[in-house]
Amino acid sequence: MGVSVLQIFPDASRSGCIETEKLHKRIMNLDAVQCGMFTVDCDSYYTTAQTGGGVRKMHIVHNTETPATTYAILDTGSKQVTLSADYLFDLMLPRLDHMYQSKKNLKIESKGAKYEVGDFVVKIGTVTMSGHYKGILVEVEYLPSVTPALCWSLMREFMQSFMGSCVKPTVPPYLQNKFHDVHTPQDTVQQYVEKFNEFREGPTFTGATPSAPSS
Amino acid sequence: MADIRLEVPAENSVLEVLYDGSELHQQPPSMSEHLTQLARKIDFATDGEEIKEEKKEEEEEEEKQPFQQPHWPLEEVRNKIRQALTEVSVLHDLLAVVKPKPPQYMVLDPVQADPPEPKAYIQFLSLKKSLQAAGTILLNGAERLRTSQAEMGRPGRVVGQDFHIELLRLRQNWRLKKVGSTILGDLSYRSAGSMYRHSGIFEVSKADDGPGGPGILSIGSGGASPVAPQLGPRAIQSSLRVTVPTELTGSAYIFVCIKKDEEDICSAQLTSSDFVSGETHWQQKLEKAQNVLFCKELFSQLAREAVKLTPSIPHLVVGNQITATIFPGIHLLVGLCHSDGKNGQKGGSGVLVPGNSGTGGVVVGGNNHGSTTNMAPTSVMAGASMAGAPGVGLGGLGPSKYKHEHDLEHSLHQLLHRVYHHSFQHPLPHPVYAYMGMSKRRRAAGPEGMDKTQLVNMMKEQTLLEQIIRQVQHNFLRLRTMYVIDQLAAEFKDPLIVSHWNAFNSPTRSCVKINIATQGYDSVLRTKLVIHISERSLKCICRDGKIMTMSFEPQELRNLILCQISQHNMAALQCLARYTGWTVLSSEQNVGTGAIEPLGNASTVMLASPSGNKVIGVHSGPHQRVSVMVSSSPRPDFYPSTVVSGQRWENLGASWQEVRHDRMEGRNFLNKMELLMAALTA
Amino acid sequence: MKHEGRSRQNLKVIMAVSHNENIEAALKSQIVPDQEFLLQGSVMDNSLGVLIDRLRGLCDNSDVHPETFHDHEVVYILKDFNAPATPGPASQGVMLRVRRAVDRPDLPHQLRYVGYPELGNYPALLRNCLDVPVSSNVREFLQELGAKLDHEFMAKGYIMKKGRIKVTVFKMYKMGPGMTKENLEPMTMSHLVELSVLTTKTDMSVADDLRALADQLKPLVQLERIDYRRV
Repeated sequence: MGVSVLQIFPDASRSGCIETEKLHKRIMNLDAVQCGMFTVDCDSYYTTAQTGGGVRKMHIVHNTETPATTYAILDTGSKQVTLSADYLFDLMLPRLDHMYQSKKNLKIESKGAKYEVGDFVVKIGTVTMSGHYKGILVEVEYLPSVTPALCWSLMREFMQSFMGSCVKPTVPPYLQNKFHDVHTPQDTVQQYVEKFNEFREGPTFTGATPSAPSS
Repeated sequence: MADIRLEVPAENSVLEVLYDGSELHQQPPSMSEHLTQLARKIDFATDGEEIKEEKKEEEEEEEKQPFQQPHWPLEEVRNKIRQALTEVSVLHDLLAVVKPKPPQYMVLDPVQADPPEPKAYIQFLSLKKSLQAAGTILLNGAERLRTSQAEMGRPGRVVGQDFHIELLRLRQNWRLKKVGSTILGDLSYRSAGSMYRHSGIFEVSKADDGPGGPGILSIGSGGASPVAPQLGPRAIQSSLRVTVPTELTGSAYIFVCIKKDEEDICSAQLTSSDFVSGETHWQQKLEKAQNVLFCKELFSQLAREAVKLTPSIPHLVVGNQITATIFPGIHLLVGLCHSDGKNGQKGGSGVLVPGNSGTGGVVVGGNNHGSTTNMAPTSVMAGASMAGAPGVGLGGLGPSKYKHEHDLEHSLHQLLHRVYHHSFQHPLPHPVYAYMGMSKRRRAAGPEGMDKTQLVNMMKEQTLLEQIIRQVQHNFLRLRTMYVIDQLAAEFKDPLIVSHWNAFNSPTRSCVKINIATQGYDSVLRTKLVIHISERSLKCICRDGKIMTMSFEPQELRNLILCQISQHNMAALQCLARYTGWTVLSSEQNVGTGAIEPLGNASTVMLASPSGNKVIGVHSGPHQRVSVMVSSSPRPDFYPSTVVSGQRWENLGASWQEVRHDRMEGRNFLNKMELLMAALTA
Repeated sequence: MKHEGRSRQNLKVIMAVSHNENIEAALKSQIVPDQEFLLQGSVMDNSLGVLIDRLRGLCDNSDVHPETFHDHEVVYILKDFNAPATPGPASQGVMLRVRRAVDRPDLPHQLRYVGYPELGNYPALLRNCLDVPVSSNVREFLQELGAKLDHEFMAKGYIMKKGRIKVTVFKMYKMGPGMTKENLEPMTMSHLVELSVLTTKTDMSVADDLRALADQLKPLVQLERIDYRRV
């Protein structure tokens, strides 16, 4: 487990397929080895009662990289708490439905191919929300380090090498807050939720069909 | 089919039938009329005088109001309820009178029913029958007591050989249960965690109801009895007999050996071991049978794994033998040797047949399958030679060519025991709400977000065969290392090679420390290195922190130690120079000049005498002998010539002259060098 | 032995189920062990030794001393506290229990949901029961989820097993300010004895084993199915 950074890859053509194909080509030029697929999916639960102050959201995330874990990220508006539990936690959710109910149309996932480039692991994911294509999300993981501060510049350089100028030279805000902390699998998932929320609020490309992940 | 309607035949009663046949029906009663009609039918008093009374009253009433309609529909009902109430009140009063104790005014007597007519004959019969039954039980008991008394009272009967006492002892060590009239025992390791299918059931019976008859008992009653000299070994005759399944009789063991040659990969093995003679004490008999069961399970487990595993060189399972390649040209052979205790020939044929290599050298016991000579089973070799194979019998071949590795056999047993242990020793959950049987790491996997590879590693379990192969590889490599070091130590007396084997080691890891020192100069320098031996590789840690990893080939280790010897000599010489006041002019670990070493590099050292007029140069390589040169300055043979005219040039060193140090005095290289330095200084 | 095998099978199910879809499939085929049979009783402190000796004889691994445990349990109620109280199960909320092993801080916390006892003639109390290993910030999570702390206590005692049956003998201690690990205030003068076994909806045979074990503890402990709604 190293440090992971998420990057939204801008997709001007809004087709998905072409851009992922482009990324695939570029990464293969870096001597990448494709090693399987990955999926990160996120279900959102909202409080049913409106009486108790603001609406609380609970995001249930699964990552195929950590198959034994279910992440429950609670967002009260002011505070975020991430619980990592055994995947048996999924069975607990129906017991909470008097308080929290799933918004089926907000189910969002990022799915795609996984590559290894030396010490880096790159995952190029196509984001779809309830079947509609939303964009491209690239996860870059640097395995030898666990502290973002020690490897950010290296990772930035690597990311710029195949994604170009869309990678900002500044540290992403999420990492900035935990710049000197040890990176955990929870941090990866929290970044996904953050990006998923951005996608949810963004425009939907209804015209495009959900693209198959390039492989 | 015609419809059949179910209807009330006539809805209302007919009032009048007109002449034309049509009927005039009565109008249906209103609800209240209907109720009155029904209520009228209720009679609250149905028996006894009350009715008469009532009738009387009714008559009276009727007399009073002869043709009067009731005032209101329920009047009659009311009347009847009133009567009923009166009656209930009377009954209540009556009960109140009777109730007080002791009764004062009235007593209730039960009504006596007629008693049934007594049938004396039948009663007598049943009485007789039950008495008879009781009598037989008593008689049976008495009979049993008498026989047991008689047995107890028998002369010469050793105390403690009573069947029941023996059974008690058996019960203390073995699991027994009673099924029907037989007593069954359990030999299997199932209660200890085994999953083997064999039931492992034995039967316990009394010795004297067997085919031997009760005669044995009296004969076996003591070795002192003069009538039984031929039954000497049976002197201690147990009154309890155990019958184990035929496939578990005899004795068995797992044969493990390491073979170097590839020719006869499959060969039968049987070394004569202690066979169970027909009559042994049940304890030994059961222990042997259990051992057979254990060996069978162990072997079947190994065979299953050998088939399932797919290494680059596949394992070979033939009959009762498993062959696995551990190093190129080195094989591990695991065999199950099981000999039937009753008949050696049977054991020989049944077990030894598989894997005849066809080389002819190995004779399988199957040759004497047909022979019915009741020969002692220990003579497999004799049997083989009798069958006509000249010279090479199994028994003769086995021990000499293939050494049974007792420690590996022991490790195999240990491994299976560990499997048993693990199948029972699940870690208990903490906190106690956790699932049982889930391992600690699996429980932590979710909250810690373990990734796929970690999870897969967690699930990985090594099979018994893999574990034993690793142990064998290590065992073999350790022995080989030991051999190489010992060879070198014997080969080189200067410097001395001393090895210390660490006493603490694991089945797959051990460690040896090697000291290289020159005799008499131990305090000058000691070159130390540590070699870690694992399964397929050696790791050498030198004193300067260099770590070298070597494969299982012995030549690599040999080369390494040769290099170390050469380096030791040079380093020791430099230390010695310090003590004697000589100056080290230069020292080079890896010289680029001179003859090419087959391996490694030669090294040189140049020493100057305290006054600087003599220089010694030493050249040493791992595979070359040490050469020592001397030069002196001012050179004795300096003659000014036209080219070099100045006298000062005589201070340049003279040409090198080799010292034939093998002819020199001195015990070893350093000693010689010390003498040389002393001579040159003087 | 038979049970051993079966429990391992169940375990394998837990291990094999690795993804969301799979767990739903597992639920459908009813192979997730989420049903618990429970029998409870109590024993006075002075007879504890006798009971432990008896249990050691009956349970597995009698060669080693029974393992002790020291757990801290916090019980939360999750419901809409602002909603007007209406009769019915909805307003009662859900009880969520968090346990951690005080003596083994490296092990994950356990979150437990326990359902209401099933009606019907079962040999032991049958209820839905779900245990999830969770990370240590679970208490904060539950508080943010909207759950309120109901009560907490310490449980200290012994744990043993017989096949699939989990046997716990423990005493509950009050929690309060100034309570240290060594200085605990016991709630009762007796120990609670619990026999429980997890099983699937389809496999009910194990309850008889539970009953058999309970019967062997008579008359030392009277183990019964206790329905808390009737208490």
